Amino acid sequence: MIRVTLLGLLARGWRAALTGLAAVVGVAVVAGTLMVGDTADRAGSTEELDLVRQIMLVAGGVAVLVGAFIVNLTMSVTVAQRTRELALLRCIGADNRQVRRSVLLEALIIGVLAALAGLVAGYGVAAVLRVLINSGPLPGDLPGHGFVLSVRTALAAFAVGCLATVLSALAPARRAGRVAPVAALRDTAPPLGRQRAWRVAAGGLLLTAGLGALPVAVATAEGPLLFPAAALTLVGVRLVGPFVAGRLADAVGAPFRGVAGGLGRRNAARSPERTAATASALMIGLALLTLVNVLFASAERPMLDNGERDHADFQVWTAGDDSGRATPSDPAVVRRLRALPQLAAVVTIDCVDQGSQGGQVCAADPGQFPHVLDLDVVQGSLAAVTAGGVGVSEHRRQPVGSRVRVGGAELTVRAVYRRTGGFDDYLMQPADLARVGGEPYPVTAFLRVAPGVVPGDARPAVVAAMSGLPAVEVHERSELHERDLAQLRSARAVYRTLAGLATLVGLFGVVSTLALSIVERRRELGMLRAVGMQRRQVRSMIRVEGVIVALVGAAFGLAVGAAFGWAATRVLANSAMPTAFTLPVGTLAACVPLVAVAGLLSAAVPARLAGRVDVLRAVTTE
Amino acid sequence: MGPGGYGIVADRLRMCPWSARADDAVMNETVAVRAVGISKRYSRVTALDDVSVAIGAGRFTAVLGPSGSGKSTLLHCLAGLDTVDAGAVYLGEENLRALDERRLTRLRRDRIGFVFQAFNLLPTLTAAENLVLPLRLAGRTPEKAPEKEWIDRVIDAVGMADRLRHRPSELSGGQQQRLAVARALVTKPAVVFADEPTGNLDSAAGADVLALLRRCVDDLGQTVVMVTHDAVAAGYADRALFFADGRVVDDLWQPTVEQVLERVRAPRAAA
Repeated sequence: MIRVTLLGLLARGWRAALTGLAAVVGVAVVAGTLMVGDTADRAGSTEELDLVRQIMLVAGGVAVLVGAFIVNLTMSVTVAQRTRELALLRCIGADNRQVRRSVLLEALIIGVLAALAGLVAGYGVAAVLRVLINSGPLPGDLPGHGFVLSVRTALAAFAVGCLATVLSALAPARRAGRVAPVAALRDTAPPLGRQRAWRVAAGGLLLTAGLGALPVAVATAEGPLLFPAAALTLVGVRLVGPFVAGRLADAVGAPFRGVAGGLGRRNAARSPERTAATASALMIGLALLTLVNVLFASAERPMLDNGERDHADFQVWTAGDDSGRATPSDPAVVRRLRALPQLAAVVTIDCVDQGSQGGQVCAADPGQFPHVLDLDVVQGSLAAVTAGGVGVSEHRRQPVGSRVRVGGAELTVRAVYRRTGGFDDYLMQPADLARVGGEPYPVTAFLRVAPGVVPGDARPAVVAAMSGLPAVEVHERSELHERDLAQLRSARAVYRTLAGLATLVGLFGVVSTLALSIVERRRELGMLRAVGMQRRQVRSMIRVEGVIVALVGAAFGLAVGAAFGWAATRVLANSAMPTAFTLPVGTLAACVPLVAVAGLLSAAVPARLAGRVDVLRAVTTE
Repeated sequence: MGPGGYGIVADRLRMCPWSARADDAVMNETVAVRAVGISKRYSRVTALDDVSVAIGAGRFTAVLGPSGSGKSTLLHCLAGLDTVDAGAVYLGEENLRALDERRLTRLRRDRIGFVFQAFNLLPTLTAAENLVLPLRLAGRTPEKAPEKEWIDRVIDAVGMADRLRHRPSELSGGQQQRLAVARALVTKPAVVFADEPTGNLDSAAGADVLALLRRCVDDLGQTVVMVTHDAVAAGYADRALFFADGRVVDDLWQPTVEQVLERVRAPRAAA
């Protein structure tokens, strides 16, 4: 039986290779990351790389997950294609366990090969990571030239590769074991995976549970709830997908006209199971991409909004550690700053931390405050925040007039303002801050130039006024906001790349299923060629199919990603990194043609295969 | 009618080489497709060995012979599905050898009809859509007047009017083959080639399809070339060509089933 399996694998050459291809990328990312980690360990520069390592391992995990989806799909397709062959084995005396084991053995061999290829490709991933780390986009530095390939890395690669393929092959193997010997005598292979009512029902239930968990997560602000919700949704879409994929493919493909376009559309709609499976593999990456885009757009909006409300032309603070306490709040410095004719307002901010529950408590002169920062008061007024009064961020849900306990102080709410970075919880009179308890520390001073003064011109005077203080930094507003935005955007670029990686693996799924379906439809393609379809038309038919499958994946991905993006931003809305749900419609809309092009490219090789189908061999009955 | 005895047939063939005789026979009628000294070799097997044959227009020609005799290869070469190693194939005045892949495909689309043993229809298309596929491939609009009229006539001829919205999987084997014949007719091709069109059918459905092919010739003036190993099928034809070892070994006009059976039972007669 082992011999039969091996010979069968060899005979199917490139088709078997397609099965493993999707697993290679995931293994490569995991192996490459481990190599970078080990190399850094040896060089002794690990700490800064921890974050990179974690993110990359998560990305590798996602890539492995998508790869497993695709292995499952391609194994299912090949088992369906080999129905007659498997039935013949049964006819000549193999029992169902032997057939099942032969499929699993095949998966194991493919897994080992994928792991080997992944290890080699891992060097490439590691090299790319090194370039990214050393040239700036990623933090840390990674000296040296070679990489450490530890036993642990190799073992991990093999474990990941083999587990992903063998686990994915379990269901197809079971199906292979169930092939009846009599199937060897039938002419046509049964269609892959019939649509069963219980699947739709179970899938619908899981999907409802998964998506239903989102409002719950938002209401209870339980972020971790999103992870099981994502798992449920993923499995739900996989199960319900075939139910909608046919119609969706037909709808998405509506713009494709002409005979090749029409046939491509029918082909995409004809096996909803396969289209759905391919599309859901692609969905994972695209959902992540959508999620990343929604999250960052939602984080960017409050940031831009802050920028608009910020009227302080300068912020000054002490750099580095706070041991010196030589601060902008130093009365002498404040006096010198206030004396500058170029400045209209000088507001110092001191804060005290009350732990995660008590929140951030800050003090500033409420009368002066509106000159430097528009807190967007929704109830009451900042002017009313006198001794014994306090301004509260909206999200704490304490109305004006209510009494709040902040540390050791009992205060009356006089103003409720929109949550603003830096003033997340309470704002009060400097005199009251001491009563709160804890150790107040100066944070910054907001400076606003006098009317008619260009901030750049005022800068030398400000720097001079603070000359006595060591390590004080003077920052202009535009520079601060640009820096914050730049940070946000470079983080976004990193996460987009990672989600793009998962999408790329998903595209391998499109390549594999299309290529396998060409094998399956050889006869049909030959017939089309015989009755006068040009090669060119055959190729565009397959390309249309690729584009449609990719677009169905995009539809799934955008919908799921937007739903999770909404939930995640709502959960994070009250975090230290406030987010306001924003659907980056432009960016997401731009994804659609990109995905279409990706589908087109994925279909390039299958389309060539289809164009090369030998008409004569296809139409002659053997 | 030919006399049919083994000795006499062999004798006659010796006296008159078949190719010359065939040309004589069709001298007075229009030739739809003609092979001139064509040969085809696959690695070790000679599938066609210097074959010359002329197929008369408006006739129903059956090509018979044991498997491996080269009859299917002849059909493929005449239909522009396969290339010849030597000789030439003419469809009307057109030399198929001179055509490139793209032109050959266009020729198949516009001037040749095919009926295969199986897998004639696209499972994703309805009967009506399958029917007009060659027209669509050519970028023509089947809904417009001249095409529409012809299509209606073809549908009528094959008796599929009430099945047009069905998918192939919802049709019986016989209905599928009749639809395939209709599809082959839809472009008004110069020749319809049928490769074992009844091979997958029971005898009643087979008889239906053969009668239909016969009507195509009689009523529509269509030229039909059919490869078969079935004597009954050959009985519907105007002419039966017998193949063995890559050569035409006999040529019967207005063959009867008995003659064909007799001929088939003595396959090596002329070898």
